[in-house]
Order: sequence, then C-alpha cells, then structure tokens
Amino acid sequence: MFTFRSPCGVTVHDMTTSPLADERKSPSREEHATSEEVAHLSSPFERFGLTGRALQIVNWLAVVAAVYVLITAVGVIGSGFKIATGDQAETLFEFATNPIIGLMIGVVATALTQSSSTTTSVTVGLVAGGLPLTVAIPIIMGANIGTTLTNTLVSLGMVKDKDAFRRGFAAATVHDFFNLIAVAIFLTLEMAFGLLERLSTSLASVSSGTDGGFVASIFGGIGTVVEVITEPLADGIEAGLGWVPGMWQGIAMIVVAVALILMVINFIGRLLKVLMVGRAKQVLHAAIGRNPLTGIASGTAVTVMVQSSSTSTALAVPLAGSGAFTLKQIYPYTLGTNIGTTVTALISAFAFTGPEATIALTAAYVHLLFNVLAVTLIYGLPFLRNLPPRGATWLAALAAEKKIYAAIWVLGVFVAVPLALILVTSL
Amino acid sequence: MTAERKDQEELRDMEVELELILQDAEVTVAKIREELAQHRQLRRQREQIERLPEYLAQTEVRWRDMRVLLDEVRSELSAGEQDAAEANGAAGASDAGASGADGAAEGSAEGPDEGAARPAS
Repeated sequence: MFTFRSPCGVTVHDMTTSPLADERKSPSREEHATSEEVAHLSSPFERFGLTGRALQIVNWLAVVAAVYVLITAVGVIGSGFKIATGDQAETLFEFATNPIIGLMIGVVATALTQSSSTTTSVTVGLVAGGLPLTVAIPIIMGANIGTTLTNTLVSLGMVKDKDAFRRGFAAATVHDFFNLIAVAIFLTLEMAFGLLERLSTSLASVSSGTDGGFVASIFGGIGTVVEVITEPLADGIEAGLGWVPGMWQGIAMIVVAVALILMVINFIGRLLKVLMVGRAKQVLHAAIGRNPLTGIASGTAVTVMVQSSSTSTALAVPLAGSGAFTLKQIYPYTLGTNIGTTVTALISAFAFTGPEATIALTAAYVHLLFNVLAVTLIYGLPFLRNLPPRGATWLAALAAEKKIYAAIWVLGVFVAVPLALILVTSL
Repeated sequence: MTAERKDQEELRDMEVELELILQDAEVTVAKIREELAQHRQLRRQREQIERLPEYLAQTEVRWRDMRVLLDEVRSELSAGEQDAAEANGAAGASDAGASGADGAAEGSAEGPDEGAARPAS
C-alpha cells in the first residue's frame, strides 16, 4: 500500500490490494467518493495542530473526560427514570414484561444506534432507576443481536466482488448465527429458571453492598469517589432541566443523557481507535497461528481497547474478505468481542452507590455472564460449536450467488422480524 | 551364472533402495510444500494485520452500501426476468414452429384440397 499526501492535504492510500479496494473502484462507489480517497484514522484534535506526544496526551485526557461524561449520563438516566416513573416503573413497563418485546427493543435500539454499549449502558441506568431486571435482561440480550448489524453492513461493501463478499459475509453472519443461538438458549433458560438473574444477583451481592466483604468495599470505595466526582455535572443537568414540569423533567433528563451516552461512546471509540491501533496490532500478531482460546482472548482484548464490539467485529470482515484468514480462524475472535463489550456496562454501573449500585451491577453482570456462558456453552459443545460457521457458510454461499438472500437476511433479521414480533406480541 | 544372479540381485536391491529414497523425497517435498503454504498464509495474515489502521478507519457503517446491495438485487432480478422472457420467447418460437409443423401435418392428413381451401392467416 502506498501512502502520500495530496496537495490539498488529504492523506491518500493506494487500495489496490484491499478486499474493499475493488468496491471503491466500482462506478457506484465513485458516485459518492473519489475512488482512491480512503478515510484514515485521525484524532479530532489534529485540526488544532497538535502532533506527537502532545496529541497523545490530549487524546487520553479526552478519553478520561468522555468516560466521566458517560458515567454521569448513566447516573442521570437513573435519576430521570425515577422522576419520570415515580414508583410506577413496574406498572408502566408491564407492556415489556413479554421477553420477546424486550428482546426486540434491544435489537432495534442497538441496530439504530449501531452501538450495543449504548443500549447496555442505558439499560444499566434504567435498572438502577427502577426498571425491573426481568424487563432489562431480554433488552440486554437483544443488544447482542443488534450489534451484529454493523459488521453485516460493512460486508456489503464487498458486494461486487463475489469471492470476497462470500468470505466477508460469512465472517459477519457467523456472529449473527452465534448470537441468535445464544439468545434462543439463554432466553429460554431465563424464562424457565431465571438463570442469569439468579447468578448475577448472587455475584452482585458478593461484589457490592454492605455485606459483600473485601471486594464489595473496594467497589463501594470506587463508587463513592465516582459519585463525588460526577455529582456536580449530574446536578447541573438536572437543574438545567428544572424548568420542565413534573414527569417530563425526568423524560427530558433521559433524552439528554441518552444523547450524551451515544455521543461520548462514539467519541471514545474514535479516539481509542487512534490510541490503541498499535496495541491491537500487537495483540493480533501474537494471536496468529495459535489456538482458538487465544483467538477468543484477542477478540476480547481488541474490543476492550476500542470499547466497541461493532468496531472489532467489523474489523474481522476485511481480514476474512481478503482470504488471508479463514472463517474457522475468525470465529473465536468474534466470540471474544462479545465478552469484551461487557466492560462498558460494568464501567457504567460505577455511576451509582448503595442499593442502586448493587442493582446496576446486577444488570451489568447479566451482560457479562450471558456472554461468558454463551461462549463457554456453545463453543464448548462440538455439536453447537459448528452450527454458526455452517449456517454462515451456507448463507454466504447463497448470498454470493443471489444478492437477494443478503437483502432478505439484513432486512428480515434486523427490521422485519423484530417489528413483526413486537406487533404480534402486542396484540 | 552365479555372478550374473548376484548382479541381478544387486540391481534389484538398488532399485528398491532408489524407490525408498524417492518415496522419502516425495514425503519431504510434500512436507516442505505444506510448511511453505503455512508460511505464506502466516505472511499474508501478518500483512493484513499491518493494514489494521486502514481497516479500522473503514469500520464506519456506510448506509450507501445497503443501497449498492439493493441496486445489485434489482439488476439481478431484472436480469432474471429478461432471461425468463428470452426463454419464454424461445419456447414460444419453438412451440409455434412445432404447431406450424403440426398444422402442416394436419393439413396433409386432412387432404390437399381442404388444406388448400383454408384461408391463410
């Protein structure tokens, strides 16, 4: 790949060997962007003339500030939800007690925001504000399915190159198949036995609250410090919306906080891509040619680094599309991204103290346990392990031959089926 | 006589030995090819990982890709319809040809006078 700086200052890459390069040279692409101009990783602070060490320090400070805003916003959601619902959260959310509705809310919300971290962080805040955990659990599971839309859409960028598209689409949809199977198993177990609720409640009681012991006191200490730091901004947002009457103030607080979360999660993701790209390369280089467990660990690590499973799974699409990595090699990495993304919800839970912290942590643990158990169960059992790659290979072969199958899959799984299920179950 | 047999046996032994050496060489070559393929794959993987900054920059979703897909679907469907229409046209032509032949056969069966009396359509 050749890189040079054009007279107008835009960094330009020669994409001749990229799996996405052919697409960029196709006429349809040229309608929208110059064929050789490719987006490159850049910090928003570069426009202020910062470079080198100074730029890196400013980037990290911005990440810290953004995490501060994230935690504050999650706290504001909790307070806003309390104001909006009073003590009527359970009554108000009776419509969502049907787990299928909750699941579909999670799918659609995540597909729209392109960020499962946003959905899970908002859910953690709502749970702390009084949303019943039984309503929140399917939403959290739905976020896992919704997040797979990103990499599926990224794979569509290869649609004009049949072989690259087949490989890229398989790498994208293996995540879809895995998450659909995981939800089918664990939502059933949840409805039958309350498995995740019980496990996460137990774990939260050990790591939070007054009877939790050493770990709980550390978590409690961190929570208190975080609360002291975030309180001024949270109070500021609440006071700023004080003119809104009654329950509408709570709703306005939720809207503002969700917008802030969406913004800062995107901002953090953008900065971390720049800051962590070198480390991510090291992790992936170290994982090459090793066992599947290393693949899972590398997926987890890269996702924690960039704080976005959408980004880390979308990354796998061109890697697979190029033909350098097989689906078998990409699959464990994709599973690891599911685990890595749970860190954001855990961070969000630090927005609360006392009993609210325990319930927020319970919701975050639901996300963590769901993903860890799903990977352990599905990847651990050979007859289940092979289902997602088989499904993805079959679908990708169909979609490469006739693109209508790809369109049916994308519109069906992420739009038509969720909306139809919400409509049917609401009747 | 004994010397000749000895020579023959020596030649046979040598052939067997050469065959074994050849087999060993083939196994070794296969192993080297396999290792070479692995090395090449690893090299390609490392090259792809080196392009991580470029791929990370491309992880943003471009909704226009959905439009490109839908355009592809539309062109595939219209190509399918065109193929079907051409196939129908070809089938219709062959049917017409066949029915024309049938008609001629019928006409000849009906007798030259009746066939000739039928108005041309």
